Amino acid sequence: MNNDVSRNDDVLGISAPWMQVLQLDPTQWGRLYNLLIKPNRAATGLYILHDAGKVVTATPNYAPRVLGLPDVIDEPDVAAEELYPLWARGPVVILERTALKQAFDRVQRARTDGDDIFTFLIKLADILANEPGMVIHPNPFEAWRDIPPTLPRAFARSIAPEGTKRSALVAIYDDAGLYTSLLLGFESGQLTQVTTAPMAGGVDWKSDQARLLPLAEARFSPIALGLFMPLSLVERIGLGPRSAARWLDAEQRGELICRPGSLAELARQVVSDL
Amino acid sequence: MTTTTATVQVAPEGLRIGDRVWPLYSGSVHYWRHRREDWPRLLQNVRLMGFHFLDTYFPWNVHETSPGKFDFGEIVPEKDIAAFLEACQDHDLFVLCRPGPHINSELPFFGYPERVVNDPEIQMRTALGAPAVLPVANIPIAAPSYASEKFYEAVAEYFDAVAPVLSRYIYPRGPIVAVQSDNEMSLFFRTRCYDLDYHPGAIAAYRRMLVRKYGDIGALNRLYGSGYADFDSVEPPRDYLAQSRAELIPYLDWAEYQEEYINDGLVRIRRMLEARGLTGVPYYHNYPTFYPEAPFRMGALEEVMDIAGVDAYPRPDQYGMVKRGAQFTSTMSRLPFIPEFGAGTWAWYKPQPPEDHLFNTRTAFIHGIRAINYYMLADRDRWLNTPLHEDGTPREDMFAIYQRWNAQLDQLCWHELRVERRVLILSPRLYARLRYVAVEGSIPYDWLMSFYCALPGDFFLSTSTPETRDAIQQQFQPWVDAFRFALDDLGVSYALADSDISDDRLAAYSTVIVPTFEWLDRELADKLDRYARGGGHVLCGPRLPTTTETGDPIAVWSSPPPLKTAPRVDLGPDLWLEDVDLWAQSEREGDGTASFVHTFAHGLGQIAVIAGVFPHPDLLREKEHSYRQIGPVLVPLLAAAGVATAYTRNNLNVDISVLSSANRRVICLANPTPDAQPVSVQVVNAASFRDIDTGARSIGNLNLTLTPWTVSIWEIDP
Repeated sequence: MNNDVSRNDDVLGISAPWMQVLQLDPTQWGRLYNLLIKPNRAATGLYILHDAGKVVTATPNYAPRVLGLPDVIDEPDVAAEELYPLWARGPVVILERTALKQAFDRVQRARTDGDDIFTFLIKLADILANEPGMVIHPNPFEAWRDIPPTLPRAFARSIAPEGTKRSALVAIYDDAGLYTSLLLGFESGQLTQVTTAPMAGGVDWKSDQARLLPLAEARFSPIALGLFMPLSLVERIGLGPRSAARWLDAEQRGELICRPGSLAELARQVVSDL
Repeated sequence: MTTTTATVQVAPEGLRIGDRVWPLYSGSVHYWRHRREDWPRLLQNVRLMGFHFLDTYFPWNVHETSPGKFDFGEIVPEKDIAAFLEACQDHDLFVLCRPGPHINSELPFFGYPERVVNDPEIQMRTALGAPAVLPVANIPIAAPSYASEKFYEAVAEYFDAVAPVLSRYIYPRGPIVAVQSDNEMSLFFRTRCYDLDYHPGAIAAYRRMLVRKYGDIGALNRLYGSGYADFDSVEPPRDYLAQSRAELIPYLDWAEYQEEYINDGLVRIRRMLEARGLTGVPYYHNYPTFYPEAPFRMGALEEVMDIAGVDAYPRPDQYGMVKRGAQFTSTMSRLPFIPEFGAGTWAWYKPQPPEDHLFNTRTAFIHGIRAINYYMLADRDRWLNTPLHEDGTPREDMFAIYQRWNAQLDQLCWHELRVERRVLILSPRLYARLRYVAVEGSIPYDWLMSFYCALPGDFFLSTSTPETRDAIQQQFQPWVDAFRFALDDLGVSYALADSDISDDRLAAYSTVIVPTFEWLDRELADKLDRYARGGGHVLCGPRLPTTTETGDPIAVWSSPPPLKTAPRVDLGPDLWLEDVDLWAQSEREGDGTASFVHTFAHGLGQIAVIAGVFPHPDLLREKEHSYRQIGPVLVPLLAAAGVATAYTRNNLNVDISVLSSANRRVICLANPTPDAQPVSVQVVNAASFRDIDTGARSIGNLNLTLTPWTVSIWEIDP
């Protein structure tokens, strides 16, 4: 990426205010993809559609035969839990026919002009989490129930308040050194740059800050948040809004390094800005 | 569609420009995303890779500075369209011109101005009336309706501004040799029957189609079993609730309308551009799916566009998907073209190494693709890992892959090669349309849900077809797939097509394999009748059709009824047929034993029915490979049609394609697995080969070990 071009707002103004710069190291991005997305895509969901309890159809269409599905589902919550170990290929989703259509209609009506993708997805997750006619087991939307859609913007404002440019760096390590990273640039509460840190020279999560923090600052802007941690910690805690407390605990136990401030401090700031 | 007065015409091998046919190998570079001083380096390196064509969008919201005001380089030098086109011409590059109005291109608002997509009168509507919101990065947009007159009025403003610039550079005045009408016009990836588009303009157009089709409301009422007072009171279906054959008809009509909706929008965009001077060159379009079924219709699209292309962004483990799409497109299209084929990747997808790009590309070519545009050739915001860095300097490993492959294509005159095929598998459009409508529920964001878990393609299909013995919508695809996989294992190359294939093209095949159930549309029944009477061999099943979808009899397929039925017939340890009809053995083989294969002469040809339903592949122990157990049944039927294998191999994990032209023959061996595959291949009437990569020679059997995810190509010595 040529930074001169990227700073030329006239050329790339159409990309503003989001991700004017995007330069990811393919190896690191591939690992992030494997970490966050690939496990989900390997699973096959069982989807059952019912009309007031009466099973209408299921997907995959061979599943009812394999599982011996009943014709009537009285308690979808219970059925989903019971079917999950039997199916054993992925999540179980039981949807009431009318609720399915109405819920997604509400999702689309919930968008307002100016919503960014993060705001919209939180609205979507909240509607789906609160829709009684949609039983999803395990339910990834549960973690987003009643989360304010303004959370991503509050986070971005906490990193880079109005009129400032700041960076955030997340660096994850395995035994061989830097495993993967994300270096995000923010301007006035907007995400504007996404890239990865250089792998060469990375040693371990406890000492690499001395190398990476000055490098990130020189490349973009002052660091507001620098996180350094082992891969095993990410795999253990996972991502999502409900895991925030576990991340704070990990910081207290010294299982990750946060520079220049602390995660707890950042969390307080984000919450106060919601 | 190409007129004889056009200066550029579509040829089976590429584009005829002046008096020369150029193979269409192209790549995308977006001028506005690069510094103007980098343009010469970019274009020079595009040429150095061996490309003669370059593709670019001309995005509406990049050039519109405020409503009705545009910048074509007067303010920002990088937006100077004329200068870019002149630079292309200076570098001897022909240009594929894509003025939208839909762009996507990872741009905010998909390339439309924000004011357009935020206009409630323009927005598409769901069945319940919500705007159709697309959850795309970075800003979700409410998609515009291509049935909205106000939308076209807005588009006209942009075309009025951009077309005068572009038309100055149409060949031979400039480098533009083809124009794409809109982009992936697909109901914006939301192709679920009862999702979109319920905009008032769309509903009005649907009613106009019914008027054209039925003439008077009485005719419609008789078929629907309804009592509408007039066409204006006919409501489109918003959920699938059919309980009888008659009740299916309105749903099939709604699906037919959606096919029209897509094509009508594309024609209208084309006419608008032509009216503004973009004439004399072919128009094409790119379907967003590599195997276009309902609501897409390649045959109909090529009646109004010069080329109907298909886009693909495959991974190596999607070899089968690429092969299937290439088999279909190379049969149906006048120039099998991929207007967007992944090179590098968008920012939120996993990048692939150079060798995977080569594997994906070769897969498409060895199965019949002859024209391609790589998307993208140069890095830019939100797109990574292409052959050129953003400033135009080469990314050495990727650059070398494309440079070498282009040279090999030229050396082999690949555009003249055709896959050797004598068997055709035909999917009836009526059944694909039925599968499209017989859906009990849908999730508009199925692609988003796929981040949570994989979603099968047969999502919430109805489990029965009203008043019909078989669940056609569920069972026709396994019937097709069984023969695809069986032919693969037998080493018999085959083409894929749908009902729109012409009689002439059909006649090129010795055998047509086609799923048929108790009802079939008259047009296809008549087409197959003509084919068989002319000497062709039809292999159909699981039923002989007796009526059309509206209940009219099909008399031409008359045959004595089966003797009896059986719930199951085993074909081998891992494959069986279900709900099987059994006939007396045909006279030729007759020993009085009942058989699920029933063969009878038809004119100069023959019709054979394999009268049972194949199980879903996921119910089979070895999935696709279990289908090979239909092979022994298939072999004599193919032999009767004079179809023989061109090669034999000792490793069925290796897929093979043989292509030939008047002057050359090549054999391509693909290893679509993560493991090394040793293989020995014996090719009929060939005993000497040359590896196009290494120049190595092989005499006798072709013995080699293929590394994972590779395609090895050998020229066969005459």
